[in-house]
Amino acid sequence: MSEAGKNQFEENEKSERETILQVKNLKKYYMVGRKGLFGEKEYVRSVDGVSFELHRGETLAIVGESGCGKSTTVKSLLRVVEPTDGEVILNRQDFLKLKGADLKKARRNIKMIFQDPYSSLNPRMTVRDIIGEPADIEHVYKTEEEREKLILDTMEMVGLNKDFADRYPHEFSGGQRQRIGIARAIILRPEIVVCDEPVSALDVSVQAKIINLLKELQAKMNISYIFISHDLGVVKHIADRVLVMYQGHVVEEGTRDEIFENPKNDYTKLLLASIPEIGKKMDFDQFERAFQAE
Amino acid sequence: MRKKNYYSESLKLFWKNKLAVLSLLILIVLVISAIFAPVLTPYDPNKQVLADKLLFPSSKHPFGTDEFGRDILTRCLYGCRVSLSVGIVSQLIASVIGYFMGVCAGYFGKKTDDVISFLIQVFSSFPALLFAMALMYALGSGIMNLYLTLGFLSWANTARLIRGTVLQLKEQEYIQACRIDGGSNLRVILKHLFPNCIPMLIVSCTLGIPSAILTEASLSYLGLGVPSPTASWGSMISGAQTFIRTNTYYSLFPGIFIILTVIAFNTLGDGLRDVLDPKMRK
Amino acid sequence: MERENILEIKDLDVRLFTERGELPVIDRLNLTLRAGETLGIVGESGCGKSMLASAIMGLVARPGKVTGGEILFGRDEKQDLTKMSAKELRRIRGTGISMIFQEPMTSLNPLMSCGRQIVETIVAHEKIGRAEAKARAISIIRSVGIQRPEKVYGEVPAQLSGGMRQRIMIAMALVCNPELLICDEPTTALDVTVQAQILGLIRRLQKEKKTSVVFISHDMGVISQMADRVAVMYAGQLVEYAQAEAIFTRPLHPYTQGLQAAIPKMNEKKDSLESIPGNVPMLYELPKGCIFSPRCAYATDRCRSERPQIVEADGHRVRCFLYEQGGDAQRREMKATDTSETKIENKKKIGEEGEG
Repeated sequence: MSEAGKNQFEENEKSERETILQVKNLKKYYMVGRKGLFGEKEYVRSVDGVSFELHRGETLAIVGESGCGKSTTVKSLLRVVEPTDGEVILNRQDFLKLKGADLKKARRNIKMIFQDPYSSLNPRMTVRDIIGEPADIEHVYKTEEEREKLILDTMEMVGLNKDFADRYPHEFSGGQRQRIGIARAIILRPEIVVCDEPVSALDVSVQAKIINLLKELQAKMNISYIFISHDLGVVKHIADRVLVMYQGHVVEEGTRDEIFENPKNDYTKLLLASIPEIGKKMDFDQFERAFQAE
Repeated sequence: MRKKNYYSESLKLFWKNKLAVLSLLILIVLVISAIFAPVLTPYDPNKQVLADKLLFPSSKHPFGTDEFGRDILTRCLYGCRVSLSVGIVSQLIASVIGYFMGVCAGYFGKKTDDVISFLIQVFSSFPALLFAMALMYALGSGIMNLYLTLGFLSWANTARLIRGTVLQLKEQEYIQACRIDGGSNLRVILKHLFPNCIPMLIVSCTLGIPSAILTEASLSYLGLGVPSPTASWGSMISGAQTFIRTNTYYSLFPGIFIILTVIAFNTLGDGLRDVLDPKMRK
Repeated sequence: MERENILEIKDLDVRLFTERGELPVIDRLNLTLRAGETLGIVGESGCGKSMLASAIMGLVARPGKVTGGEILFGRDEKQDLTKMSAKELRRIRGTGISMIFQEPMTSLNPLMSCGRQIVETIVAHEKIGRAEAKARAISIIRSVGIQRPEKVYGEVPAQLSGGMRQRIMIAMALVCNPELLICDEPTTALDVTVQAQILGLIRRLQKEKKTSVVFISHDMGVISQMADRVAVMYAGQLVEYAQAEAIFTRPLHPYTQGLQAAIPKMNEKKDSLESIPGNVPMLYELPKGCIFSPRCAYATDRCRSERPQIVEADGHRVRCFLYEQGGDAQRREMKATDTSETKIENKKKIGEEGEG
């Protein structure tokens, strides 16, 4: 291998592993009450010391059942809820400590796609204004024409007809609404997009289209996804690495193949065995045993 | 598949409610006759013609005349100006205060919510009429003071309604989305919460008007409303009570105007709520 | 051995009377369920599967109405459920037919203890003393796999987890030994591990009690675990009906094929998933011809102008012109010749308009 080729190779290797987000020991406790009137405070440890890294251009899936803390994890790292403790390193800064203009600037780089295509779009705003809102907040354009062009280009990228810009969300189907949500998330070309169960409210035939779109956008824009889902079929299809969470902790982390082909943790094994799959009869007895053991 | 936007859709549903449309027509007629009262009648509402006092209804005076010989129809129409303007302006004031208080309570929560909720409680537990009387005593009678007093009295209802709505809206993901994009509180309140509260505001405003009109009538009846000789339905009834046995029509006509207006606003408000409130929609 | 039919649905028509006119939620549906078997009904949102459950239970409410056809229930003497009085239906619900729903909280009384609710169900349907009813309630709670039934007996639904609630719901549905159990998306709100438990439980109890089951779900994977026969519904119509194995190994209707292709599979890696272009049509804008034709890759002019009837092919009953002359061979031939071109052409055409 020539020297130049070797350098090129190392360069690729490096960029593939480049960490763009680092979460360290993230915690979110909710106070639920006190022991007695003035006693010790009691907490629910919704997220209890979660750490992980996200690399450029990859999809990191977080799986687990409801209440395992996967949603709270991403909401804490996006500061939708203020986490109790931990660090979120984004561009060499602790995102959790940022304030004011710095926070606003950092937010440009990390966006979110929501689960519910109905409650995530303001029913009184037109599609144009919904998609354009992040741009409005950041004042990234100088003229109305620039804004219009940005919005229409983004609509085209997610496969929305430009004529729909003046319509309201209720005129669209679930899948199209999810496209609007995606357009809004990518309009500022962020490096990281958090997807919170983006397809679980959709019909199967539509779900496939949205997943394909997410993959397509990733290939085009080199976005990194944090992808939350309870559907392991979808996760296996889209994820590069997988984080399995249980009761606020990460119980197993690995590449997709490691997790799906050779799971180490008992909970991961149970999770994988419980997927109903066509053409594979499930062994129901083990679940009954697991339930009795609880 | 193309559906129109929310308000034109609501309007279409609204036209199907015959009673509400009828109420709207009645109110439009009242508003027009209040505005064009000087053109519609040849009489001056306040000029005393003692020769013509206490006439029964006739072709010259369709509603008769009062103890000072003033045409009752004319005074009813001029009274309409007072009643409608008091109802509408006071409720607009109430809506502004109520929206601001309700949004602050619902959106910011915690201490702000505690304080405002307490204020709402306090204002809803006052006997409204007594409070209005006290305020009018303090401020002195006059139409401006009526607007302020009645507006100040009824913001609590609106605030409670808006607070509840905002508490629900706050959980919507588009509010979270705006915050993730770095949107300020002001942006959330103006761009996201306000448009979604407008239907509630329209409804609470429409339903608040009749009670404001009634309170105004009561105050005027007690001599605390508009200063005489300005005509107002309440003060007319007050003047008529001496003659209730002999000249029943005198109190009857302003009474009919009050009832008609109140029922019309209530029906209209119910109709609007049916089409605007998402919970009431099928 | 041929088993007798426990449920026969013949030409069932259910319509919604709305401002947009009469909408066919269920359009001339024919289905049969044999005693002791499970009939799986699968389809996307708005395909009419939940309305079908309501129709069988006699719970179709305004603006919906059963406008035609019959639902025959029973082993020897079949009764038409659509013609029963409210009183007769109440008697049959519980002892003859029971139902479990997606969200147990909406069908359990939040203020009454679980045990009491089961006792009330028993007492409502059978002449039996309270003490005896209580003993039976405890034994049924034990039989749905709950270890300390006495404790759970006294708890109200809010004290239980989602999975436990669904177990109580199942106990309540089965306590009067109904012949038919209707499950309407019973595991959709649950986590996968709990879903697996509940599915196992339903299967075990079905075997023990020899109950017949109608199992409704949007999830092909779940249906494949539960059903002996599968009916695929689309926009109010039955599009394919066959043995479960046949549906999953050799789906015939283009919709069934598309639906299966769209599911991400665990055992294969692909760069992109197959998807069905377009959206499920609204009931007030159903296409004139075959209801699937606007999204179908094989659609011809005939499909767009004429409604196909259900035909027999390869042991399937399928609503598609491709199988008019029967067999799989026919389809392959069609695919090989002219249709492959139409298919590409169609895909292009749909791709331009179709957004999802």
